[in-house]
Amino acid sequence: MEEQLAELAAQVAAIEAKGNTTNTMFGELYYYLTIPLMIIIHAGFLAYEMGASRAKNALSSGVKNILAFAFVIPAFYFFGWWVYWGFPTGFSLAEGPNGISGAAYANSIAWPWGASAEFMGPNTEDQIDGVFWGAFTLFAATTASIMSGAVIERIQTVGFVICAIVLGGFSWTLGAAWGWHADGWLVQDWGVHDFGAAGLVHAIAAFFALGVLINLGPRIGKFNEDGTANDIPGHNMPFTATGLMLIVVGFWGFLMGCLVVGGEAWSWGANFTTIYGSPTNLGALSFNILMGVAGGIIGAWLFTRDPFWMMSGALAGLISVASGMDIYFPSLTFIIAIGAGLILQPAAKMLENMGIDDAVGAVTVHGTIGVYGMLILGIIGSGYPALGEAAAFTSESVPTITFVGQLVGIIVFVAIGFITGFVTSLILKTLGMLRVPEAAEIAGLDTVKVPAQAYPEGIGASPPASQ
Amino acid sequence: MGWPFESETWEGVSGAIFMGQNMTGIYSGIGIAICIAFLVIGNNIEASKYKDHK
Repeated sequence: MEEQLAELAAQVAAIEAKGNTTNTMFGELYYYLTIPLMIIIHAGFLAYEMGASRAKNALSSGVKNILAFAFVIPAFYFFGWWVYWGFPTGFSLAEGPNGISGAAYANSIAWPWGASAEFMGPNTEDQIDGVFWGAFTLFAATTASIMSGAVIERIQTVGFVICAIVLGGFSWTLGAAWGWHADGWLVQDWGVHDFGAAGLVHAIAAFFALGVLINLGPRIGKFNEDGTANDIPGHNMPFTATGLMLIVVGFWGFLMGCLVVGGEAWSWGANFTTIYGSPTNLGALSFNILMGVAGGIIGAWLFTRDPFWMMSGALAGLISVASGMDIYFPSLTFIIAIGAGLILQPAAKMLENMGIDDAVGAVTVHGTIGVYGMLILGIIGSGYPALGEAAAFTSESVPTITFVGQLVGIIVFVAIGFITGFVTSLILKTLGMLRVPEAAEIAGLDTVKVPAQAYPEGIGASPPASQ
Repeated sequence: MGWPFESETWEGVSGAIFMGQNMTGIYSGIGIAICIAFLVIGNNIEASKYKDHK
């Protein structure tokens, strides 16, 4: 009998070990797959921004976009990851209540040199840090791409890349440390909840772009002497609309990456949770992403009837519900997203009337709608826990979502984005590294600095073949 | 019912009355009504575009 029991125990242990291995491999593969999915966002931004440029600037816009992607990756590797783990409790760099933050903790896992380098390179004993870093790096690159579209057709390449490094490596990362980390002071003290990063990715990037736009100025010909605005259409609307759809595809990976896989030592519990440790699952995302995208398109379609604004509406719908995607009911998601689609174009017009030339409406889509999404959650989600009990300082003091908390959160995110964007671009402007010379802008940036042609044979229609 | 419906896994959701199970029908009704209204308005706008092209 005892022998049989011992044998049974051994079999259970073997099954458990296999189950643990499978779960670990699933967790690793899960985050790994978010990375190529998020790269689709960048394929989308590339198409979108090249299409939204005039033909004379199509390739230079593409060069800028590709370089933003390339430079943000090492920036996040060399210092961005440290910022995320070092700053959650604020500028004191002290350790937070969950013991996974502060300078000492960041020093132990996030520098790619010294003792912590074992977590920042190939290590068969570490099944999570590499893929988790990869997913976060793509979040960082996304912020740079959001800013990128607003400034096309007149920004210098290196000046832009420096802006992208500051935004992707520091600005949004600081916001994520404060509001998207279980030890973040905005979360622990104010109950800020931003599951899908409407504020800390979209709004920070958009208000960073606004800070840059103020120093950069509008494109030549955008505004008349009386202050009225002229439309400067891009050269390829089909390319732009398709790019926007690709961005929507990529955001499935982005939002996947916002979940924490369960059952591992670093998990918040046995099942999927948010990054705050509160419960949710992929079903919530499936319902709410689709209903959000649909609502945004329908809202934007009614009065614009323009594929550019309709696809921008898809993104706006997604962003408007991102903060509460883990708890919203899909019918409610749909209504919130329709609201986002409806206000999109009027909000963009308001910005234009203020003399800001945002070439693709990025400040509106990501900024205005990011603010809207954060605040809507403060109203509708009021009373829900901002953190899971496992991640809260004590189970008796789980911070809840409130309107005031969400308001404080979005004010902080807007300030981080705007101040860092404005200061960085002001320094670049002073150094003569921000804007291209007037003659180069008029001639077209492809002609001036890109050793390739977008359309060497023009865009003529070929005659049909004879029967 | 599982999270996030009220009174299931979290006791502090009294402020989040709008997320409760009883509201799901109202949200769905509003969503359907908006769809129908938008189709009607959209169709009227579209018809006005055809006026000069008959």
